[in-house]
Parts: sequence; structure tokens; C-alpha cells
Amino acid sequence: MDIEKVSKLARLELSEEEKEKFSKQFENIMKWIDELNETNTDGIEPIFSITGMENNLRNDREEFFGNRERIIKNFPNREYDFAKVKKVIE
Amino acid sequence: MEFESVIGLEIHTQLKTQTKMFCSCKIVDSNSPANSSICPVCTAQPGALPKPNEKAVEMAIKIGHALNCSINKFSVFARKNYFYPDLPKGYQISQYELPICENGYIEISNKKIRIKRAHLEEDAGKSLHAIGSEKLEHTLVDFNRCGVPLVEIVSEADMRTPDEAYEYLTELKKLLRWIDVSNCDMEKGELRCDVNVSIREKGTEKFGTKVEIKNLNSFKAVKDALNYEIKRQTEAKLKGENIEHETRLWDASKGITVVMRTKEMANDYRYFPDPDLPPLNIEEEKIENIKKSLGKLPYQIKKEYVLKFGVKEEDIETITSSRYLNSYFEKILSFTSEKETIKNSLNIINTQVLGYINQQKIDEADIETKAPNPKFVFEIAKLLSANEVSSAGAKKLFEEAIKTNESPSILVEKLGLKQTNDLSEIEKFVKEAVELNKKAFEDFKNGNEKATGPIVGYVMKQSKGRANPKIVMDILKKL
Ligand SMILES: [Zn+2]
Repeated sequence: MDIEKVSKLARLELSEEEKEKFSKQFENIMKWIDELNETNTDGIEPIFSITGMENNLRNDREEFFGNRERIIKNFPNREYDFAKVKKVIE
Repeated sequence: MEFESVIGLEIHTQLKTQTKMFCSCKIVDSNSPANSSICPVCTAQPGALPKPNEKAVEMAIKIGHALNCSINKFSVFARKNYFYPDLPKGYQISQYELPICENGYIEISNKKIRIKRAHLEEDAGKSLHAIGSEKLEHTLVDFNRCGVPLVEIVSEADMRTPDEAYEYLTELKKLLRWIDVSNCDMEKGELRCDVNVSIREKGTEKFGTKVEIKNLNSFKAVKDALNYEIKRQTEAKLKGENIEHETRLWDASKGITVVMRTKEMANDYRYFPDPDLPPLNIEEEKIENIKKSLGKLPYQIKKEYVLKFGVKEEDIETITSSRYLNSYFEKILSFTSEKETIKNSLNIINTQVLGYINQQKIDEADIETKAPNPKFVFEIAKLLSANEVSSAGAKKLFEEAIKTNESPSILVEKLGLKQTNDLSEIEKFVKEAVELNKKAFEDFKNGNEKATGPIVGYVMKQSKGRANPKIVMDILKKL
């Protein structure tokens, strides 16, 4: 398990100790998944959802949220009403 | 060595719903104040749960039908994981293993371009890197667009030339607009196109290394970028260089593609079914009803017209390109079923009516109320079929009818444009003309068709332009 790759993809910065600790934990998880993979699932339909619910659609009707200011206040940084982030392109 | 290119297209089309894909925020245009249409769902507040928009699901099914896809009654939303500031959840809700539509095709110039899949997903927000020409120190993000419903349409790599790609795009856009699911304005980002292109030695089966091109903002850009890229790849191959599997950006101002810096995007999306969203399970009946609601599609109508009226495909291109123009034409069909009159009507539509629509900048949707009265077009077409007006007279009639809003069948008399088919009257003029132009008549008899100029001229003058030139010629030949 490439812990560096996973942490990079998840944008998590890990200390050396954490890397070691999580590596071991991940290895166990992967081992367990390998065990699951050994189970014969021939002829069994995959399950995509365990709630048994389906569709759960809503009408295409506008509902105004009305408290956008609270969301904007929660941005880590703001400029005007934008979320302000580190520059992403040059 | 001769090469051929292998082209596949990925299209994103923005659906014309009132609200977003998974929340009830209104879809607003790009001029709206930043973050004015946001809520806990589309900004990924903890605990907020997505709920799919039924209309968007129906539109996706419409698209599937129009593209001859099989519609999966059972389909699943999946998370596509990647980090980017315009995507607050850290994943985009899309569909992966079980998309809503699969295995369709579009027909272009008698060739089928297969559609691999069409699936529902949500748009990301918009990042602002500059205000006007002033570059910003930071990136500013607006989430108004975040969560807007999109359908991604993925073709198989069935196109072989940039022209085919262009035609595919044109046909696709026509269909999407026809079924009223998207406005497809590329400038507004309602239609986005990424292309995959590779080249291979002609006659071989194996695909070459493909390059993805992004940042294509118009159909022309797609064609230009493909032409450039095919040339670039061919030259590289001939020099023995390797073609890299990479993403390139089209620079329209320089007319070149450049490698996109890929440090931000790790192409490792770790898709998995979204546990927040139960699968879609659409009733067969609903899928069928949506199909019925579509009515006839342009390619079906086209085939019908060709069969029924014996018209050429190119002549019905325009009136089958938009449902507004088509219902304009159908109005005329409600007045007549006579082939000749229908052909004449088409001719008038393709030249004068379209000319008027373009000149007056009439919006498609306003054709019904603002375009020239279809009844007028029919009347002029009928006069033409009956040889009661010359083609020049017909043009004049059209202009006058628009100006005065008077019926052409009345105007034709008023303006003295009615052609006479009265043999005896015309014959009298022709005989006079021959008498006055003996030399010309002799030349004509000796095989010089052009010599009739002064004779026809005389007849026209005497008949005040009402003599049917065809009848004049017929009489002349018999003399
Ligand atoms: Zn929302």
C-alpha cells in the first residue's frame, strides 16, 4: 500500500510516525479485502445500496435557501462574496 | 506511409432545469452575484444530503432516446474523487459502472458514430483567476454553478476526420436543442467538448497513443485543434518520435495545442457508489412515455420528407434543424399536399424567409410570431406552381407582402405581376416581335438560342412582364 500516494490524493499531510502507523492499519484492511475477494460471488448481484431505498427524487422546484451569508462566513477565506483560495493556475 | 486519425468526443451538456441536480437552488446565469445561489448541499456542509432532480433524470432519458441508446432502468450514482477548490465535497457526483444510457449512435453522412454512454453528473463551481485583464494573487471561487446538472455523452472513437467530428457535433447539438433539454450555447459553457485523437497507419487496426485536447470553445476550435494535432502527430511519427499520452490545451489565438501542466490533476478518481444516493430505478412505463413524448426526431422527419415529397436532403436541412423552423414548414404543409407547391415553398423558405429571419435577427423561439406569415409563402409557392408568377415576380411579391402584410394572391393582381398563360395573347406579341426582328429569328432558327433576346424582350415589354417566358419559347419553337 502506497501510503504517500493515498495521503496525497486525500490531501492529508502525514508525519513519518503517522505514515508508519497508517501503513500497518491499511495493510490489515487490504488483507481483509483480499479475504473478501476469495469468497465465491458467482451469480450474486452486486449491491449498490443497503438501505433498500430507490430513486428518492425531488421536483424541479426552486427553494431559496435564504442564509447564504452564513455559508460565506464559513469559507476559510473570503474576498467579497467569493471563497478565496491559493492560486491554482499560473 | 499514410496515416488515418482516430477521433472520439466527450461532450458535456448543461440541462435546462430550473434547479440544480441535487439541491433546490435555482440555476442562475454567469452574471449573477457570486455565491448568490448556494445552499448547504451544493457547498458540502456536513450532514447535507443530495436529492436528485426528477426533471434532470427525465431529460437524461430523453437524451438517451434521441441518441438511440438503451436506457438502463437501474442506474447508480458514483463519487468521482478529486480535489480542486471549485469542488467543495472533494468529489463530483457522477455515474460510473451503471450509467443511465448506453450503446447508442448518431448518424452522420450515412455513417454511424456509436455512443458509448450518456450519464448524469453535476457541474463544479467557477474559479476566477483574473478580473478583466488584472491577474489575481489568489483564486476566487463562485459556487453558483456548483451542482448544475450535466449529461456527459461519450462517443466511441469512430470518427476519422475533423470534418466528421464537426458533423457529429452539429448533429448532436441539433438533437439536444430539438428535444429541448439544453440550449447548447458553447460560449456560455452549456455545451463543452473534449476530444481524443490518435493516428495510426492506414489499414491497421491497433489504436495509436491518444492525446486528449481540452479548452475547445467552439465547433471551429474543435476542427482547427484536430487538424493541428493530426499534423503534429503525423510529423512526430514520421520523424520517429514517440507520441506521449497527455492532455493538451488548444490555444486559439496561436492556433496550436500545448501540453497541460498536470501537477494538480491526479487521474486516479477512485470511483465508488455514492452511499448518500439510492440507485435510480425507473419504471419501464415512464421510460416508454418519455420516448413517446419526444415525437419524431429530425432524422426521422428528414427521411419522411424525402420519401413523401421527393425533395433533396440538402433542401430540407434547415427546416429539420430546429423544431421552430420545422413547425413553420409544417404550417405550410397544412395548406397543401401538392409536391410542386411544397418544393417551391421550401425554396422560398431557404432563401427569402431565412434571409429575413437573419436580417431581422429573429430568435428561433419567436419564429412563430415574427417570421413572415407562412400562408403568404404558401400562396406565392402556389402561384409559382401554376405558372402565374415568374420567379422574379415571386421575389417581389414576397417583399411586398412583408411590407404591406397583404395577401400575395391579392397583391399579384394589384401589382400586375400575374403572368399570363393566355396562348393567343402571347402568340400575338410573339408574332409581332418576330416581324420586327427577322434577323434574330433567323439566327434562332439556325440554332442560336441566344438570339431570342430582342424577341423575348419585346414580348415582355408589350405584356408588361406578364408573359410566361416558357410559353414564349414554346411558341417561338413552333413558328
Ligand atoms: Zn444548493
